[in-house]
Amino acid sequence: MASTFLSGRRLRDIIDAMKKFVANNLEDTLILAENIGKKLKNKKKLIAFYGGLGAGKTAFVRGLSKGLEITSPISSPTFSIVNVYKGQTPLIHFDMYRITGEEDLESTGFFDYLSENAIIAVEWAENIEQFLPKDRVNIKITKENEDKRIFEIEDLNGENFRN
Amino acid sequence: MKILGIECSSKAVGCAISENENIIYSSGVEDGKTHSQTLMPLINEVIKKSNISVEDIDLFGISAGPGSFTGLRIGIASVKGLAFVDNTPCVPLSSLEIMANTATGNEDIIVPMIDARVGRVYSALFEKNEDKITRRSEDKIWDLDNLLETVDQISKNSFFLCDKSDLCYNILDIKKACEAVCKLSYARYNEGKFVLPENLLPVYLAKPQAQRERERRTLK
Repeated sequence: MASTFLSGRRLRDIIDAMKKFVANNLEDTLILAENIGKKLKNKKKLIAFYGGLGAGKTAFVRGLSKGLEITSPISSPTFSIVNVYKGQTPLIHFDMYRITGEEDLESTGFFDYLSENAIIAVEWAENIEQFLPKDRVNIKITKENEDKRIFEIEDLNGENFRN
Repeated sequence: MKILGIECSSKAVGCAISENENIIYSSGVEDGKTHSQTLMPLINEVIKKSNISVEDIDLFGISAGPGSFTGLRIGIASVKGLAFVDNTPCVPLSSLEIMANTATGNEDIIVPMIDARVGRVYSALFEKNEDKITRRSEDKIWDLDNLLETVDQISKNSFFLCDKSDLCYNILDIKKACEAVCKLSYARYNEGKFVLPENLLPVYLAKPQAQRERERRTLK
């Protein structure tokens, strides 16, 4: 299991279709996320986050947004359900925690956003598993302790992350 | 009477102005931006090019559904806002009926379709007799296979039309669509079928009850 990512160049070398990363603290998480964000610039992709309360999904998206060069601060979409951030690569940030069923999901505009050129980050993706596009990136976050996280990143369409 | 028609239920957005049934100017946009960004500038452009002002509008026509959730809401909210000023009457129209009214061939059954995902479409059947188009069935969600079979049994001379290129060959012409909104609105107004802006609401077609119950059981 490869578990280092501290410099962008190293990341590019080792990112593969399925990879595990260890973050020893929040700063590591943000660096990892930012590097992934950089690779997603001007791309269209959905990232599905799986991980319980406090796992660090929103923190990851914060790092991601920095890599995408979004200047607005990221806030949790827990209550708003979806936050939209404009930029050269727009970011659409969902929290599906309270979503039950297709009609509910439709009312968030989720399906309309799928056809936009943007990065879509979906927290609590497990709640809408059957509606997620097959071409996406899964990020599973496991909380080891207060500071430590394990990220399992799987690109379901093997190509995109290899470059 | 001056009529402003808007078609905003799918990816393209269109706006037209007419004097009764006669189109003065129309324009459509499909550029991948959201309707929240494109609709108002489009309305502005059409108004300027028609050489009239918003105050001159006597009637607003708008696609009220089915279709894209956000598209419908943006269209209706915009029309409400414009119509509230003078309490101008509004005509909510079925987006499927609008689509059917853009068909110009000599088929006798017209089948407009809007993608509803997972092998389903929003659709309704319309009959064409010379130039007159009449509704034959109500707007509802169909399984695509079921729809094709049903149409096949009615007529071999049918015309399918849709909003997305991966669904069928004939794609909706957004300019013709917003022009159809104006013409249909005029006809409805003369039949007394219009509403005040406060009563303008979108029409989202719900899935059949059984399907909703099943979903409620299987999710969470």
